[in-house]
Amino acid sequence: MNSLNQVCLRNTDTDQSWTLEAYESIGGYSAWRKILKEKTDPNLIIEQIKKSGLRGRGGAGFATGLKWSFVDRDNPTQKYLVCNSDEGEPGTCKDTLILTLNPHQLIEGIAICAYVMGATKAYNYLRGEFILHYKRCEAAIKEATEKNLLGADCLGSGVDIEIFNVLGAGSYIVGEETAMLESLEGKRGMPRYKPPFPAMHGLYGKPTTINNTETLASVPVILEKGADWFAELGTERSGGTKIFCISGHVNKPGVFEVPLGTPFKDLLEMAGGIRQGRKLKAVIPGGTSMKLINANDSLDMKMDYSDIASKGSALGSGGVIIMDDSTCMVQALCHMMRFYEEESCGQCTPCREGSGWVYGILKDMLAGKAKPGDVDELYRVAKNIEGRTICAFGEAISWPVTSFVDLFREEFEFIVANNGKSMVESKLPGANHLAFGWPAYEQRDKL
Amino acid sequence: MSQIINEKMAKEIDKWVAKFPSDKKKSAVLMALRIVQDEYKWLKKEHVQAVADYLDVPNTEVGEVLTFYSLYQQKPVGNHTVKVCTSLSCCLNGAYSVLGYVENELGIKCGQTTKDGQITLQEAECIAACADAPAMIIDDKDFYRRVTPEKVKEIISNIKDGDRP
Ligand SMILES: Cc1cc2nc3c(=O)[nH]c(=O)nc-3n(C[C@H](O)[C@H](O)[C@H](O)COP(=O)(O)O)c2cc1C
Ligand code: FES
Repeated sequence: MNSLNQVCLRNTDTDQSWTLEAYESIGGYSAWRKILKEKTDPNLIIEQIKKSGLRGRGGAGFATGLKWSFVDRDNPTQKYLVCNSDEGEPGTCKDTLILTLNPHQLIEGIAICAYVMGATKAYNYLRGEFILHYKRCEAAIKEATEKNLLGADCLGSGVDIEIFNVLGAGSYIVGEETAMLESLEGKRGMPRYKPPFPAMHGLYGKPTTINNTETLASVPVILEKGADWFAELGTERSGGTKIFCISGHVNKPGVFEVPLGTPFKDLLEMAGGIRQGRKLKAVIPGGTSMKLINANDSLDMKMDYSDIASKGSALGSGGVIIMDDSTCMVQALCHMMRFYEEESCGQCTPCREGSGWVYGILKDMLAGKAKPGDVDELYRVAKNIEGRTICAFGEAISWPVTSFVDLFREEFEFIVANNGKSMVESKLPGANHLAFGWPAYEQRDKL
Repeated sequence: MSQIINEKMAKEIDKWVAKFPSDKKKSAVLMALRIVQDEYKWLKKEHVQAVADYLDVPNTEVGEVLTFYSLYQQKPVGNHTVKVCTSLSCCLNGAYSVLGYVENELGIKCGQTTKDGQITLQEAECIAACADAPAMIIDDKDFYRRVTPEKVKEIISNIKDGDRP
């Protein structure tokens, strides 16, 4: 499997991979040094990024080169770059690896992007629990600054770049880009209305670009090895590689950086297949905010933006959650919705009220207190949130609920008709509470 | 210097203030609260006031931050927090068995603090360790992955003995 880990995770098996020495030994900072030496025209870099097909790895998949062209570099005001290292989408555990194992590549990517924006200051916003990650990133910035790869007049080029690592304090919604800007300003993480867009009116009202950790960490390799090399790794509208985090009911859960377009089946195989020889039931391909895909549709799915979209879902953050046939879909959804109810920032009525309502109906279903018609009610409430909120959190409630009901309506109807008894439970002992708990775990570890 | 924010804490907070533009001290509110909480374990009204005074930010605005972010403890907690992730990937791998096991080990229910004031048990939402489910986090910074009953036992006795790394 030589196509594994070629971009963001390219050095993760080297010793002390997070040090400057280790990073430079694999060619690290060569792209940045070249830019500083040649004073490369930022437009040429944007062209390269466009050509590479790189799309945002934070969830929305927006074309990175295009995003970079939105900020007016010639505007003399202070401009900012923000790196979104808030990794919080359930099922996603990839940026955590970049931050701990390959921080210099991220720092190099941030420096390059800041240069293109004409931004002299960049913030790397890490979620509040990432203390080790923070220390690694701080150490990386210190090392790079000592070599004048960062700081004032980098390598005598006249380019100034300062990067600051900052920590959050526990909030999923802060992962949304405008909420992150609010948080950086020392406020609650309430998403902002758009327009105005951050490219015009971002951090402290200044032009700002926001990119995900994986997006920015891909940039140095693209410039080192060429846009074509990167593009050709992937498929037509999905250039390069993507880190997928395979979790749930598999034998060997793990994080794999593979070319976009890799068949889902191959990925499943890398993760050791479905645990205990059970059957695949459904897949959430891109973190819990994305729509559910049933087993049949997943088996011929290719892991790229277009193919997953053609199955009615989205690649999202790359958090692939696998559920086997022991999973009660009502319980799974209820767990997911507890999260969204908890994390709704409460700003928009459809989301604030809807998330509580949805969670309430699901709890009633499990407790045997649901009424006939509640499945339709659940669906209606969820559907009504879609498109009616400031940020995409509304869809993150609406999409899972409607897709779960669309694919497994009979399970929802059954639990309502049978006073909380799960259809799955009735067939498979121990499926209750989604937990095979320890036994499954111990068996898995022996593999 | 207020009595609440001592010199050491002030120095820490100043490091964060320095990361932001000089007229944007408010940006340091999140970390200032965290630093104060690290010292006092949970945040009372007077702590909020101390942060507000120190950073010259209205008290109500610091209060808004306090109530918004989940890492801040607004009620008394033990010297250490143990949080078990109960988001989907962990649930699919027995997070509730883990939680039940920890409850048994500590002799408390989720949300409670042990009698000796050492440990508070709480649930966490996805802590970005999903491929290593089930996962726990201690003191909002130390990750424990692929936990098993044996591991839980060890982790807890380490906290109790106070020799946790
Ligand atoms: C509710 C919500 C949560 C989000 N969480 C994250 C996150 O944890 N990390 C992230 O990079 N992007 C997250 N995003 C996406 C960001 O808003 C933004 O699109 C992204 O950081 C842009 O970077 P990219 O273009 O490089 O992907 C979230 C979006 C929403 C609506
Ligand atoms: S679901 Fe538990 S760490 Fe992500």
